[in-house]
Order: sequence, then C-alpha cells, then structure tokens
Amino acid sequence: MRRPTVCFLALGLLVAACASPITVDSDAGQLTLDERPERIVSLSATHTEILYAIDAASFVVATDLTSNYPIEAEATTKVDAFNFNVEEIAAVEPDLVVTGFNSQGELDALQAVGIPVLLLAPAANLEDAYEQIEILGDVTGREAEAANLISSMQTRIDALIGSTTAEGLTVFHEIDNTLFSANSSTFLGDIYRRLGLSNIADAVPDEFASGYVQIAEEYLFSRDPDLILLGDAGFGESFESVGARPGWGSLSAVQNGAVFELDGDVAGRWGPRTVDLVEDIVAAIEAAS
Amino acid sequence: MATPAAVPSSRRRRAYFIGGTSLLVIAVLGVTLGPVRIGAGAALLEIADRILPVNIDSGLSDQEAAIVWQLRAPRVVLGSLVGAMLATAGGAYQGVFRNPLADPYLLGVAAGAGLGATAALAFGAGAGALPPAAFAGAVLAVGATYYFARAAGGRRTAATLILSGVAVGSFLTAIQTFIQQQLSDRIREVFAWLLGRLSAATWSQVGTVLPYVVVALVVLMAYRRVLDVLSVGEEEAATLGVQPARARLVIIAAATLGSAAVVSVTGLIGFVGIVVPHAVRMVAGVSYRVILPLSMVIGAAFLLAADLLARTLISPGELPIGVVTAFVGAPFFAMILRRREAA
Repeated sequence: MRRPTVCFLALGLLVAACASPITVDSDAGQLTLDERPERIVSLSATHTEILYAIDAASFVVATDLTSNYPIEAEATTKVDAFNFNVEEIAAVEPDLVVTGFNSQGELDALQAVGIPVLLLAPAANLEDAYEQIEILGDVTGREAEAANLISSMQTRIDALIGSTTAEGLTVFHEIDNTLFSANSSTFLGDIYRRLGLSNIADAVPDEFASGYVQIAEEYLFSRDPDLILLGDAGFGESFESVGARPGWGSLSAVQNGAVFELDGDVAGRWGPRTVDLVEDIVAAIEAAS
Repeated sequence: MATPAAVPSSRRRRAYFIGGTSLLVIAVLGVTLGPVRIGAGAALLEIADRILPVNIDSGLSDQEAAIVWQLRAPRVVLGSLVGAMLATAGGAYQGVFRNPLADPYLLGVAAGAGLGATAALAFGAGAGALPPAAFAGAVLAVGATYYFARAAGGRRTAATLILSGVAVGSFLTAIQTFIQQQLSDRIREVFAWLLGRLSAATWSQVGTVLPYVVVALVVLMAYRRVLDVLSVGEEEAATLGVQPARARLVIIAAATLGSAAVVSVTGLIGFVGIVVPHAVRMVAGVSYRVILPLSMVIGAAFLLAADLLARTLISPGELPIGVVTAFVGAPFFAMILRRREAA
C-alpha cells in the first residue's frame, strides 16, 4: 500500500499528478493510462530487470520465460512470450503489459481485450536504454529510483569508457557458432563503438537493416580481428572450442589468447546489468592490449 | 529389351567432357575466390603441398594457407560429394519410382534428418552431435516409411511407398515444428541447418560422409542398367530376370543412406536431386546408364557453382546455399513442367 501513502504525503501538485492519467511515449505512440498500473506483465527480460531495479517488483504479477534475473522474477507467474497467447496473458488480469516486441501482433491482440500495452523496442544505444528506464519509472511512480539508476549507470559506464583506449583494435562479436554477429547499429555494437573498437561486422551488407549480419568464415580470417568476444558462451563456446575450430589456430586473437566469453543474457539485453557488460568488455580489451 | 538410348554417343561424350571440365574449373575457382585474394597458382601449390608427400613452398602466409586448406578445400570437396550424391540419388529415385518428381528426400529423409537435428539441439547437444542425430533420424524415417508401406499394401509397390513417405514426413515435420517452437533461443541455428550450408565444411565432415557416398555411388552405378530394365515396368522386368522388389530395395537403400549422410552434415539442400537429372535427361536421353554417371559429375559441378554464388553474391556476407539452389531450381522446375504440358 505504498502508493496511497506517497500520495497523501505529497504536496497538492503531486496529489493531482497521482489522480490524473499517466501519459508516456512508447514505440507505438503515446500511451495513456487512467490509473497507475498495479498488475504488470513483463514480456521481456530486459524490462523485468529494469522493473526490479527501480523497486517496482511489487507491481509485477507475471514475467516471460526468459526473465531469469533477478532470481525473484523466476517466482512470478510465467508466461511464454515467444509463443504469444493472448488468453494466457489475459488470465493473470494485468492492467499493463510491457513488451519489447510486436512481431506476433501482441499489441493489437492485447488492446482488443482491453489490456494496455507499453511497447519499448530493443534499444539501439545507451540513451535509448536510459529513456526506457525513465519511462518505466514514470509509469510505476518510481521516478526517483529510475533517475538514480540512470545516473549511477551513466557514471559507471562513462568512467569505464574513459578508462580504456581500444583505439585501433578490431573486434568480432559472435552471437552463435554460425558466426552471426551484430554491427554498430545495435545496442551492443554501439558500446563497442564507444569503447573505440572497430567492429568487423560493419563492412558486411545488412540487407534487412536489422543490425544483425551473417559473417562468412573467410571474411573473418581476412580481417583477423584483434579481439573475439563470445556471446554464445552459454551454448558451450569458449576459448578452447574456438581455438579447436579448423584453421582458427592461425588467427591472431586465438594465438594471443584474446578470445573472451561474455554472459549471453547480459549481452543480449539493455537493462541495468549493461554496466557488468561494459566491465567485461573493458577487461577483455585490457587483457588484449 | 529395347535400349532407350536414341541420343548419339558423340553427344554423350561431349556432355561428359563439358561436365568434367566445368567441374574442374569451378573447383579451382572454389579454392581461388573469396574475400581474401589468393592466386590460383599459389592455392593449387598449397593443396599439392598438403596432399603430395613432397614439400612445396606455395609462398602463402600461415593464415592464407589455413584459408586455402582448412576453409576452401574441404568446402569444395564436401560440395562435390554432396552435389554428386544428391543428383545421383535423385536420378535413381526417379527411375525406381518411375516418377519424374521423385527426389532424394521423397521417403522422409529430409523430415527425419530435420527432426533428428532439432531434437539434438533441444537436448542441448553441441554442433558435433548434429550429423549423427540427423543421420539416425533420416534412417529411422525411411525405415518407418518402409514399415507402413508393407503394413498397408503387403506388396511394396512404388505408389504405396510414396504415400507412406508423405505420411511419415508430415508426421515427423509436425513433431519437429513443435520442438522448434520450444527452442526459441536456438531457433537460428535450427533454421541455418534447415536451409542447408556448406559454410561450416571441415575435413572431418568430409571424412564422415565419404564412406557412405562412395559406397552409395558404387552401388547405384552398378545398378544403373537394372534401372533401365525397371523403367520398362515391373512385370516386364520380372520376365527379363530381374527381381523388381529386391532390386528396388537395394537401389533405395543405397540412395537413402548416401542422401542421409550428406544431409546430416550440410542440412537440406533442395532441388539438386530434381534439377540435375532432368537437365541431363534433356541432353543425354532417357537411359539410366548415362543419366546416373552424368548426373554425378554435373551434380557436383552444379552444387559447387551454387556455392560460389552463395559466397560471392553478397560478399563479404554469405547466402545459405539452399536459397541459391532453390532460386535456380524452382524456375527450372517450372520450365520442365511447362515443356511437359506443351508436349
């Protein structure tokens, strides 16, 4: 019952704010809610992490199957965002659904049964990510917590970026063992770029402008990246397995031991743990240079 | 027995010559072309250095040598084996079932291999476990097709087998789709495999498929005359001293094992098994004595050419080879259908 308490204690202006509708910008236009949501379903692991980090966990009634952090999120009702089923979600009676994706028509389906949807598409850079934290803070009435989280992330990430000079180093980021990779237009690629790394995926045509491209093995060899970062460590790839691939022993990164594992969950999200991600990348750069 | 070879032998010789020469040229291009510029001479010297017991200096750096010998060479060899196997198996299937639409995946090889590979990924197996799982799935699927055909028909006629293959294939594909739905985070790997790829070719994959392909091709070549006899009709074949049921079993087993082996390492590369034998039929006539060996050579050349396109069209990116073969294969297929209609 924290919400009414906060309202009572607030001054007149804020009381008015509590009672009046909440309007935020989402990636599907403006979203207006008549009341503060108290039963939120998060269909994206990133937004689950943000909601928990800004002390809005008490409003979260269900999360999707990939929401595995923090551990408490595992204890909520679980819904399957990948095989989206509007009835499964309607059954937990949410007053707001937060999602990063609309590829299965989630938005229309949920709105058709009267459930408001906050669509926050995958962030393309740190500013996008901070903005999403701010929006979630506005929606849940955790403005101060959101602002604190943003400024602490900003301070730490900026310090990390300032602490290293990767200028001139080339990087290959591996998403899976077919050598799928991410270019600088993605959130992760944007971090590499800010750290001064030159991403070999940037020269590969990105037909669908998705930011994700298929790297050909021989192209990788021709660029001979200084640094190889494994986003697929969770699927068994490691310095050893990469070094054991035929011919890979001739790559500089393998010979110099500059092949590092990243936590795939952290590398694939744009939430509070981005700080850990930047730390890991900086450690890899330090080790490689 | 009338020999259905009305095509003059000079034309057949020319077809062999053209097929063989283009295979060689494309193979050399295959080890020469790529994002890294390496001359044909140096590439061939490097390969000679590795194969021959003499020490030859190709003048390539360690890394260029790795590109030629570890990336390009196994890809060319694997591509030739896969193309030769799929095209020959396709020709054999078309003969044994007397059905121009038959392809190496007809009896459930594709669906079985797909299910095997998907299931392996679902159980958290690494990339190395895919080929054996796919192979097991393919062989089990064809076994099931045979079993149900026998249960249904008593006599394993060609039509019962095809119908049984369709049923088994649909059933296994349904299971595969179900598992795939549960595999959201590895779905890309499944799709990459399903589309077919030579990009991950290694010498160990070549070693895996080589015995199967060699045995399958030898058996099919030995039976190519029997295919001509079968093409006349089952009863006629019986009167000519061929046991149709047994001959068919041997041919199907060889074609299936070979196809299952190549599918298990490269995924589903479509249309090679249909396009190549039909193209060969157009220039070299309807005798399987000619169709099978020519399909083998031209199938290898076709697949290598498709692979060259796959890795150069959007260089330094790369297309799945199954996309290229289907892109060329589907219009060709439509053309054959039109011709048949017109005739």
